[in-house]
Amino acid sequence: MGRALEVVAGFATNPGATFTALTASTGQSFTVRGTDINKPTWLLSEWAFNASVGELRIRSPRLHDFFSGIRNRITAAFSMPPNFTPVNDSYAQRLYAQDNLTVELTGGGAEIDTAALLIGYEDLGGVAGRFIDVPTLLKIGLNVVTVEVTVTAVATGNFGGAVAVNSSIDNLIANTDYAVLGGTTDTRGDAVGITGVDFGNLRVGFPAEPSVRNLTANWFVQLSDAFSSAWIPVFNSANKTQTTVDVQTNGAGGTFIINLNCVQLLPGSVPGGATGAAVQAGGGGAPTSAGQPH
Amino acid sequence: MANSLARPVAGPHGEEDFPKGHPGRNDYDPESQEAKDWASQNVHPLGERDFPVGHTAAADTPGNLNHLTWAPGVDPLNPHREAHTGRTPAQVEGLRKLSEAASRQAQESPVTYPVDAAVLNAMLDTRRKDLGRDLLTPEEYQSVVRDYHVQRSSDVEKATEELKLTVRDQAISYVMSRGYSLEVASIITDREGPERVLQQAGIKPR
Repeated sequence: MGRALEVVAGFATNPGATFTALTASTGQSFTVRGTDINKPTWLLSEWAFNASVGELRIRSPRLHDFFSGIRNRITAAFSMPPNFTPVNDSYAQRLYAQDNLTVELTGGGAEIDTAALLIGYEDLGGVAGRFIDVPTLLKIGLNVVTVEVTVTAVATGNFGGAVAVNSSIDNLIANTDYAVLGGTTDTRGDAVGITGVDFGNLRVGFPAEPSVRNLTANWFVQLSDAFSSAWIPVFNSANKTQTTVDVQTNGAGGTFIINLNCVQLLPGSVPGGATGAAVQAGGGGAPTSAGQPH
Repeated sequence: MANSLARPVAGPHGEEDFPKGHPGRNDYDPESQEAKDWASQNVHPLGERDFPVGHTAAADTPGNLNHLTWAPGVDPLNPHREAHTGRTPAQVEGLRKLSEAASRQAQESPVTYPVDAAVLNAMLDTRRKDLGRDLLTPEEYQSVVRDYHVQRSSDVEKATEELKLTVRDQAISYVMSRGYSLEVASIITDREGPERVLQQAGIKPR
């Protein structure tokens, strides 16, 4: 069993002023995955992308109350967390195994409105993703590299347009671990998702908001920092063709140029990765020590 | 107040001590045009001016841009252009049509099933070693993923079954969400009865 991070997104069609339960994106669910009840699961963030102003509401009898619960105003055309933002410090809502969260939106009367929850599992049965914390990143980080991909989103409100991280520029060093600090987008949507074996095949993600780069550019670093835990995803370039980036947005669809801000890591420092011993040694002759200047 | 930064200029007889019209000159005549011009440039009651006379940001400088509103991403001199990109309306429209067509053809992302990264990566490495190369084709990759699910399906089913919460577990989980420790929540649940706890919480057992 191991750590997992999952962005679960959904959409409401023509919600208008009526709280409308979100339809989860294909293959996703707002029911918290089954875990040992002793192992904490966290709602680390939430955000919504509405074309019209609205309200995002998250309720459960297991949370504060089932009457109004967590309810936040969503400003139009701005895909940022109204609550649980990892900027500076924050507070995560504990979630409980198998709890069916009621996630609702209001918004426009003739549009698809969207929202996303970011759920962190400290120990999820049958799943083990590779994540590091900030001190580890500072200790084993080597070089900064940007992964740029172009994603064509679908207009159905689901995640779509998945492309491999090397689909636009194939510059990753063979058999090398990379930490994903966060990313940026040039187009507004709801959520950018990154999926791969190294993340336990669950989708990690961040808000697709182009105007607040100081939050999304190092989203996972800020999450790790704010919640004092390991939430920085790590993938190995041996899996680059199967590590994909996609986008979930509203009925407008669109073409998104996504930059993932990554850091090359010292080979063999993060457990659970590909050993990459088949042909070429990890890192292609990378140094054996790393770290930030002091 | 006098602007101490005013620099003297080179006159016909060499470097002058102060510019023309400056009160420090020995030929200073407060009624002369030069003195009036110098005063208009350099003498202002404290706090009257925001910027020196002639400064591009001074409110009385012809052609200053102070009236413009600088919204994020918008060029105020070309407000018709798209914010953050600077594209013309024609470009925006062209891109919108192109993007719309592309979105119609785009595919929804495939559904992936959760895996244990350590186990699957080890299986992928074994395949890489067998083949003698690092990069697997999508078919080779998918065959390993299939093998993983076949091998792990019984384990996963077992784990899923083990993790499936009983009515008692669900009741304990609810009581814990009210702030009680596992031990106390267990005592409360057993004393009250799990069905009653869930009923009072408005939770249907799953």
